[in-house]
Amino acid sequence: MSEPVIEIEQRWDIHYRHAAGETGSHFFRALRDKRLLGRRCPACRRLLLPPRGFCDRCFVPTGEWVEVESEGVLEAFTVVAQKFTGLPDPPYVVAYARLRNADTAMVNYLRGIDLGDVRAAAQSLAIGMPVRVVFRDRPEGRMTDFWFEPAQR
Amino acid sequence: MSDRVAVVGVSQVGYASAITDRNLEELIFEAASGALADARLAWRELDAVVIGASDLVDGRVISSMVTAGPAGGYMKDLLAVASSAEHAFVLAYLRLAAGVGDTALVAGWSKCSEAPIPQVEQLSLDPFYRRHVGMDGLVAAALQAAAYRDRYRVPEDAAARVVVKNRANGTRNPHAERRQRVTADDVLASPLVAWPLKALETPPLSDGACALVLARSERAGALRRPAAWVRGLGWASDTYWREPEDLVNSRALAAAAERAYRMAGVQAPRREIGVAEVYDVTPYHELMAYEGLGFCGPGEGARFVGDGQVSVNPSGGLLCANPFFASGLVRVAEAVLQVTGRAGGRQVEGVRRAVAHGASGLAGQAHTVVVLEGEA
Repeated sequence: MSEPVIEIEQRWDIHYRHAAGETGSHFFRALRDKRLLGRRCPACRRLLLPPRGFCDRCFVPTGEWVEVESEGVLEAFTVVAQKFTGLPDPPYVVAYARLRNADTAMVNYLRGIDLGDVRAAAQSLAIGMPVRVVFRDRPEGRMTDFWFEPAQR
Repeated sequence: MSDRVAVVGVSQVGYASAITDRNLEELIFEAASGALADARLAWRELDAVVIGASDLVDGRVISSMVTAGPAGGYMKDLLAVASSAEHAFVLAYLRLAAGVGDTALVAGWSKCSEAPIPQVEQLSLDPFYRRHVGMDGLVAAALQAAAYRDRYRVPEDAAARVVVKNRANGTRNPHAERRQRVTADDVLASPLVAWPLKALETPPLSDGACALVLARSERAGALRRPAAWVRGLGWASDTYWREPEDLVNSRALAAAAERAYRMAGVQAPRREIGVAEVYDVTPYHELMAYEGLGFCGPGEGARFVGDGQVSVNPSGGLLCANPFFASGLVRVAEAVLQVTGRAGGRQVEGVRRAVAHGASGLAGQAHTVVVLEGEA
């Protein structure tokens, strides 16, 4: 009979403070006014949302701010049914939505549907269906200020 | 390795105690696009990107997911190195020397202001036997410094003289975070941090990014930019379980230097090297580097300070700017600027050959030595 193996328990708890820079800060500040702002690449002309200070596909700086419309289409989604360590309690929907005048899709939660039956909820969603951005009542300038919901056609 | 490889572009952004107007990705983009502009190389013509960064410093796991793009990695065959930025330089060199591509961009960075560096360093220790001890990079460096002082009876003022020299050099480097002179009395009177290290003998923790463009021989010539040829390259890693005596005369540094010098044909480093940019995480480490790089014998470091033949750390070294994970790559960048005569106010006259030295891992477990040479 071999001796039992000893396990050493460790916990990592590291505090970071990430500077969003001028570009990111401008975007977050606009969220407080319930506005979504994108940056246009001067080379490929794509409107990037979330905004980036440069376009990595063209490798040039961006400069022009453009307000993004609040309606668009669902481009990808999943309904999370199981609990994952450190993630929110299920069920919830993670979605990619492309807003009307943006050229990139943005990731956020999709709410406003009945998640009582996960399979039924997944079947009630369809790629290409219209969605809209919904802001919380008192936005704080964070990505958690808004989410997507199915929009009426 | 018959093919010749040169550094043809350099960019440094920072260094400062906190850069907040640009996020990490924007900082990297600025350095990478700056190095390409310096090399007069269009991004579309760049073959490869090699980055060297730490997930824990960046606060992003597999941080290349977000940092590859700003480093110019979109649809390039990007590789990421997690040990140190100077190792990214080594890998980029090897790619080109092996004929895999004609041009490569190397980038390294740190935003120390955003991360708890001592905690990150403590987490680099094994979880079984050492992590319980209150030890970060500086505490490990203090153990080395104390052992070195004791072994060679290093006079109290030798370390202070290194600090005075490097801080004076830093006043001429626009990228230095610390640009004020200090006196030996200032150093000796500064508060004790960890015996024997005083506050002015420890480096800042800086924000900044550094990028270099490398090119293979014909391509390097076609760019018509001042070229710093990589003549020698050596790197070595010691065991994690070093004994106290190993902390003083690093076997890894000796091996790295021996390999780099052999490749470069350097036989008498003190006579053949004009400038050395060394990893002076403390002034004691600069003294140890003099010895490890063969400028003087073991224990003779204190007498070598201010040697007229080799100018050491004309940039001011880490004691003036320390973008942590990138600091070894910065040594290469500064050596490149020196041998191409582009070091501005910190230029040392008549430098043809320079050596760059980087170290990584707590107490310098791994060392890298690069010998660079300008055009004849």
